[in-house]
Amino acid sequence: MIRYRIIFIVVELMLSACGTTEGPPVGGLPLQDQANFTANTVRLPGSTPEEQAILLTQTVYPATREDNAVGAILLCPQDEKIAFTAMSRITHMPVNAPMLYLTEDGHISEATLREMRRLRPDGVLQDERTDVYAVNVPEEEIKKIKETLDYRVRSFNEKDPILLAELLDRWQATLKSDYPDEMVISAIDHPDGMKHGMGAMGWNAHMGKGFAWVYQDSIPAATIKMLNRRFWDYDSYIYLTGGPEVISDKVARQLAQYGLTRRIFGDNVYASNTVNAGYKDYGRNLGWWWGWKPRSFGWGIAQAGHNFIIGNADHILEMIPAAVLGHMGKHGPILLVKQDSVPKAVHDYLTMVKPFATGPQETILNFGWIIGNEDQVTNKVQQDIDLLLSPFAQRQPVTSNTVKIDTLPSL
Amino acid sequence: MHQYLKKVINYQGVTVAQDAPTEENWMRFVRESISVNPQARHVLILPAGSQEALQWALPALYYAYYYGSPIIFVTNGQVPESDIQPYQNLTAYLIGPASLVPSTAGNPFSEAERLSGRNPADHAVRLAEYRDEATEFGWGRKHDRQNGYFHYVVTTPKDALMGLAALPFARSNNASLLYAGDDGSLPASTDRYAWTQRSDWFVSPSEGPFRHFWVVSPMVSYAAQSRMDFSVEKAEYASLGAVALGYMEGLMIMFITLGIASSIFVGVHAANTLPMVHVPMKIAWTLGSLLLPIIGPLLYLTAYRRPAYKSADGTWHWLRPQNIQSAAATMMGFGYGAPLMVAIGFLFVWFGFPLIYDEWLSDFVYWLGAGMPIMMIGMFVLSVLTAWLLAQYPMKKMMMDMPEKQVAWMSFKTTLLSMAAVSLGMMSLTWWMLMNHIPMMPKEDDILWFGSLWVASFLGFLVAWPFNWFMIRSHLKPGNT
Repeated sequence: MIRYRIIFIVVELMLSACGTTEGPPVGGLPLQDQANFTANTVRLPGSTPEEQAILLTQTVYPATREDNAVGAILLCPQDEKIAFTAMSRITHMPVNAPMLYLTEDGHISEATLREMRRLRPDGVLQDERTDVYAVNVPEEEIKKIKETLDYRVRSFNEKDPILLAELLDRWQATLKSDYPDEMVISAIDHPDGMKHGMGAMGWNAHMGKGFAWVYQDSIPAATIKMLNRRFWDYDSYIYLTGGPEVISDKVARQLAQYGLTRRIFGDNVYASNTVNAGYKDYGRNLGWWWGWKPRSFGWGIAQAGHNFIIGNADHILEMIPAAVLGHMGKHGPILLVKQDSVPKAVHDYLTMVKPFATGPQETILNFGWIIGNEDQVTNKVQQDIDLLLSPFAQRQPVTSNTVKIDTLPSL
Repeated sequence: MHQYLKKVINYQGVTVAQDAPTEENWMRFVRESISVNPQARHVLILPAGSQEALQWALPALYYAYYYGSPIIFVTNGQVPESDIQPYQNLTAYLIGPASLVPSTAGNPFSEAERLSGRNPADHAVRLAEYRDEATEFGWGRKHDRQNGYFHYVVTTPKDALMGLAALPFARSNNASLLYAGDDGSLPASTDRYAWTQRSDWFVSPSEGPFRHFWVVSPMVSYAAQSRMDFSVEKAEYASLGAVALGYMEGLMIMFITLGIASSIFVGVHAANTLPMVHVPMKIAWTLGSLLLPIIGPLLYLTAYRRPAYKSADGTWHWLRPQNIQSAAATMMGFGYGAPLMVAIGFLFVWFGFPLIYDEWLSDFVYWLGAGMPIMMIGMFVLSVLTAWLLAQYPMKKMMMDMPEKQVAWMSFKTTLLSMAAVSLGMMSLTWWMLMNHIPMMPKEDDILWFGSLWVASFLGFLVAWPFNWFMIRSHLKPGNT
């Protein structure tokens, strides 16, 4: 009898070791149900940055098993420059951390805390199994995380975004035993500096390259320190987000002392981001006698069959955490639009990557995530984007017999 | 659903019937929605009437809507004569089980073939996979299609009407239909199929293709939806993700399995045939063979299947050429040191690498604060100390007639040198595998993590072997016991 019991226990243990997909339900967080869709787009309709961030983590991380849970959580205040810096450097693998926000007055809301619990971080193997990266999070809130959730927290406390970039650069270099030679550089004192660099920030969340700030007309000491840490002289590859009116030619010339300097920019913030989506720079990075490591920077998407994260240029705080959609799932670059229209640059770019039927029983397809509610991107814009992403040239005339729809949001 | 999709999927050429499908009118909905392709090379014979009939017909209706397949419903086991006439020279596909579509329904056509699964879910998978170029029927979405952008509409058999209402996806997104279970779970056939649809990436996960599930039934559980989502999450070629078995993982599993078999063989063989050999040495051969599949047992047999003599102190010695003496001496250090290094490495990843990124460290030697170098240093130091104190020193004390201090010092030196040689090969390959070759560093419970260290240990032995040749020559180590 004892023998049978032992066999039963062993078999039970073996079966349970095989893994299971059953996990906790989303209970109490109904935001996912609000997503609305077209054939080629799905809208994640957050109404505040905090809600948008939760909606994004709900979409990307089901957290029903270790492998589809997060590595860690990135928690940060609703400060555009701090969030932009943190998302540029923390999210990418091996950390695998989506961003959640504190409330406007610097606390963790009940909804965010519940979402943090649901996400069940696996802990970053390369960094002491850290569960939460708290950037400028007040001490009492960190205490709350530790006590309520029993998560391991690493704090980065640096109010100045320029110094925060340096701190995160140092931390990342140690984490990966390497300072990435590709450096994205954005202007901190230009009103549109972040908008021009939004797409490149998304690339960093996707690929984990370096990031630093400059002023329009000068380079901060911390950024120079970061560049000096790169291997060999002139061996960095520097990508400026914005034209000369955003980052001056003087700064570009000074940066060229540290490596090959290029600009990712268009005539306006929309064009800068479409250029970023199509941008590709490849070639030498490091070579030695028997080995070599090429550089490969940028999405380089100039053909159909890709995905895009599309949101309002004026809603920076909502767009920053949306870069996680370029890090997991369908992966794709960020494009910016206006609330009520698709800018010409985006229209032209999406026309270039428009799919077409390729085989007797299939076609290549694009996909777009629409970020924000209708106050940020109207349904008309969503529909226009949908048509651009689709393999179809036009819509049929709208028929007038449509009944009222109760169960799904109407377009 | 019908009204909503009519509004959002209203591209030119994508039209469905004006009224939403119901249990009563679903066949009319289908007839009004499908515009028949005049060049069609096949005709579909479908079950009619009941909800059950719709469940079996639905997967085929998706393709019919996409392609414009002519459809004929079977009523009372018969195909209406008037429907047959235009299509009798085409291949007829009998969709569903014989209880709903009798085989006689195919008789009037030039050729007939039945497509049916064990249940609706299995049936839907079959139709997603099926393709006949001659008749132009079927989606052809098998596991080996690496470059197709495939979309799927997922509903439950009870919610087949919801699936029918989502018919526009078949044209707008080339979606085929799959079934979840009525209880919201994923049936085995759907689950199996979903996992075959994961596409791996070579350069970047932003490369296509991408697969997509549209879940249109509220009955599908969150766990099932999450599982489908995870099944198509893009993963790197080496592992194909955390759950699927990648090609490289397959190789690693073979390597590890051979290692386990080698170890069992050496352990059992030595225990039964070499009573004169000290137990610690037999353990060294056994553990060493674990990390040296095939080579381990071969070296073991080569070392012991030769003439031997018993010296005056009662110790047995085998007459071995110097290369084999070196291999045997290497094995004495490797057998304890390498498994210890793997075990210590595992503890590091289990608890997480320590990380030191203080500014004073960050200019030139920042990498010393990183987890991998710390793990490697830890593996080396801890394994040298453990192997020396628990194995090498007691073993040498048994075999060598020297003062205790001298034995301790000599065994430490040889352990240090031997493990340094093993580490040279092992650490280099570990670094290359984990930091360079495999795009995403494997976690502690991934086969690739164990496999990488296993293969790296193998290389460590090959590097240490010639080092031991010199130690044998200098009489720092015995190689004939």
